[in-house]
Amino acid sequence: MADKKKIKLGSPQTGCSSCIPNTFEIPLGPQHPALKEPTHFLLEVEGEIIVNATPRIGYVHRGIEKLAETKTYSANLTLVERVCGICSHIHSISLANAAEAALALEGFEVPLRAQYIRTIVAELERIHSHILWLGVAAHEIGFDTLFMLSWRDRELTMDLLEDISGNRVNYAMNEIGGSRRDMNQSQIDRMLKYMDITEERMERYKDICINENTIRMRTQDVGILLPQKAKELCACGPTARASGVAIDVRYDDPYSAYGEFRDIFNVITYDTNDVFSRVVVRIIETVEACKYIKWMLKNIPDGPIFKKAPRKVPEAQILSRTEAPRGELIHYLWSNNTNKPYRLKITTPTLSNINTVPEMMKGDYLADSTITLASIDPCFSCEDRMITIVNNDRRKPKIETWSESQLRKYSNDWHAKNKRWKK
Amino acid sequence: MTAVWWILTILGILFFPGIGFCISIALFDEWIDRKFYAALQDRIGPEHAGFKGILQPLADFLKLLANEDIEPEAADKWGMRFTAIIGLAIPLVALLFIPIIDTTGLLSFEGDILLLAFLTTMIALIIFLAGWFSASKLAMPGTMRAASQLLSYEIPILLAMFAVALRTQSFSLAGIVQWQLDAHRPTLFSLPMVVFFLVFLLSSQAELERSPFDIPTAETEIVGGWEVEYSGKKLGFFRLSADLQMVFSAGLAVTLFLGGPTGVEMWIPSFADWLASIEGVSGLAVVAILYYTTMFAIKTTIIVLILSAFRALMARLRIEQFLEFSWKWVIPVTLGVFAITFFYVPWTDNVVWSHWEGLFDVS
Amino acid sequence: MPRPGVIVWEALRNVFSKKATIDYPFEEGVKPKYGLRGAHVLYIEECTGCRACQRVCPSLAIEMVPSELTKTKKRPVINLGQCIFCGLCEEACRYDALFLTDYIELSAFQQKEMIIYENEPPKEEISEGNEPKEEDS
Ligand code: SF4
Ligand code: SF4
Repeated sequence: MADKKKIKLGSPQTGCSSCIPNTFEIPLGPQHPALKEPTHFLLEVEGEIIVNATPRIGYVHRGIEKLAETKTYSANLTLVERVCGICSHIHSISLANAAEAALALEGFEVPLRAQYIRTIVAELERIHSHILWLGVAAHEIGFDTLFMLSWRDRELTMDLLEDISGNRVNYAMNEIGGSRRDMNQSQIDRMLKYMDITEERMERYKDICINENTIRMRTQDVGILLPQKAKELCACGPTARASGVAIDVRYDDPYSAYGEFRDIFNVITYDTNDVFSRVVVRIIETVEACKYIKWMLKNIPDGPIFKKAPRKVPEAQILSRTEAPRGELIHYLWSNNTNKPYRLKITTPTLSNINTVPEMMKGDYLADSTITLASIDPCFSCEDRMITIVNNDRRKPKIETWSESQLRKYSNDWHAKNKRWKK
Repeated sequence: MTAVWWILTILGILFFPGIGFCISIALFDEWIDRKFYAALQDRIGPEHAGFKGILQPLADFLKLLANEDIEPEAADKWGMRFTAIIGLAIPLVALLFIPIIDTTGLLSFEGDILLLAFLTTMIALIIFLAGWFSASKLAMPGTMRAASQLLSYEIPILLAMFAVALRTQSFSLAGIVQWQLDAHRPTLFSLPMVVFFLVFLLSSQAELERSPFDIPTAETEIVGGWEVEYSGKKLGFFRLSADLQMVFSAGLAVTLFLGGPTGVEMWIPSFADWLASIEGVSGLAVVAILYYTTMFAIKTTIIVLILSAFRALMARLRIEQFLEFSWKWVIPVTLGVFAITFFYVPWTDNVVWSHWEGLFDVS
Repeated sequence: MPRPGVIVWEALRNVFSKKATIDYPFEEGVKPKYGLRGAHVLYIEECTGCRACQRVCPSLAIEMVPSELTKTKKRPVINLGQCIFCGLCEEACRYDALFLTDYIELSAFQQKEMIIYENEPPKEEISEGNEPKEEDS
């Protein structure tokens, strides 16, 4: 347990200072085999030791928030699912919760069975996301056997999701006012069976990760994020919990059906603050998620799964928080008594976690940069937003946000310059 | 006589057991490696080219030959081409010294173990040059890692080789194989040689840059390290060279520790006599050659299986962890055991072994 | 006690067990019996051309083209290249004319091949109803 950030001394390959510069820059990304999505980190390394890291995001900005303003709520549910490919369901829960909260002003209520189904799918999604992460992390440290085996076991969860929803990704299970698909008894039995298997397998992976020496060598004392720093840099989700900060929206501010089993809910924390602690937290969370699913399947109430909601959502400004597999997800909805949102603002967990990465990387070896980056379970396309870098010095970037009128002016100028663009 | 000898030697170098045979056994061993690695991970591995995908390595190689060959602007282009070809040539040359179809290698002289030691180091140097010539930011750390890794695995490998030479009192592979035949046991069963065998396998794994020691080429860290700028034919050559190195390391391990291409005749003297008697007979010599080759192939495959199991079981180490492991544990232990071998073993070993032999009196 | 190679028994067991890989195009893949969301099927004799499916489609994959077979003289054409398989059109259709099937092998070489029901179905496939007239589309 390292209380202080360990500064590793001695760089093995610094040559004479006159011919080779002491530090040189290595780009990590935007294209890099360790990154599944484009982002850029500029690493300043001294020999093999990272002295500074500068993140730069914005390679895959997709304009989903703007697009959401032109679509109806039910179409938006399928749109926001596309924000992230892995934690897609939680986005639609978040938006549905926001819209239903606005509708609740007029006395609208969602059937309880629908809430249970949503929660079950969300927890299944957490399981498959965490196992996916375990595989990716194992791949980053060059342990391909664990990668293959964990993804094999993830297949069970994927099959369940396909069985319930009809799609393997982007389940399209939610509708404003309930759920679109019900679960029958045979599906519930199959789920119980598969959850037992998954739980057993995850227990075994926990043993492997805790006992395997090479995994410990690669993950312990690497990427340290102290609790104090975690709070300062607004870390969330498993990244924060692995630093001993017990925050979990599912427990702190229960939504959907999480309020029903708050008494058996455990907020998993671990206190070694390093990558190893993030591995352990995620694996234990997966085991816990299996337990919650089993509890919910046993206690799921009968009743309708869908109640038709009015098409127009009354005027309100709602902040909806949910716990995505990667951390706290925020949907801010501004409705204006029409069937389309006036403004939808999405803040994904990676956006708040990405700031912690340079802090984790400093003083570590170059070889650890990828596992450190992977340890926050980054999802870059989810978090990308429009920024304009003003000056060219990448080490001290000055970032400017444009106002609406500036944007409009830019767009007008651009179209005036490129007249024939449309043809 | 001399003309026939020359023709036979040249044919041998070109086809059997020279370049052609070595390349085929290298591709075969890559297939074995991939299949077994996949099986450990609950996959099926290559499946569709040939029987159970046995032609897949060849298909990969041919495909790489047909690929576009991109050379970076800043790189030393002739240097890159040169290293690719030399990188393929060195293991081929080294394989000619390994006894495959006979108890002596195709080329053999007293002291060839020294030449092989030199060639193994050359391979690592070629890798260093390959990274240096490609002038890439990502190749540079890979090159540096390759260089520092070289320092820490060469010493155990050399110590293991010379320990065997010390034990068998011979500086040629032919002599080592002959010693094992005379002593009726592979060197592995001499007392501390087990340690050297393990050290040799471990260091071979590091030399072949396979997980957990694939530090210079770590794909997820430095995008393939020194080989990042190589594509097309050159990458194909390096891949083939890696396979050949694998066969070379396994073959060397087999020769040094497991009795080379000899098999059961170690314990059945009459069979050994028969093999020796048919050596001169032209018709029956084929039988001996086939027997030796099969034995060699089986033993090499076993070593390759061990190496690939080793590859599957661990996470990649960091470079400084590897150096630490090597300099703090492997090298001191090897040196210590080497000293023990020098002073103590020939005596105890003989005593223990003759006791053992007395238990199972075979003759 | 931390030690290297913990996974060895797990891995060795895999060598002798049946492999998890499904050699998909040569073997049959796993898919659930019911409820898969795949390519659409349109029963044109049921379709009234009410445009409900077009209006609800979030990705604008459905286009209404003129047709003689339906009441409103329009029928849907579905572009699978744009479709996100959400199944909203299936739920919106009140006349049970549009369904998603479990046919999921949808890769194609051309954009055009992803557009289904581009042409009117040939005469013999229409079991009953008005005689379709020839038309250029
Ligand atoms: S398919 Fe159904 S919803 Fe679409 S136009 Fe026809 S009847 Fe209407
Ligand atoms: S499945 Fe969804 S996207 Fe596809 S055509 Fe139907 S409504 Fe449109």
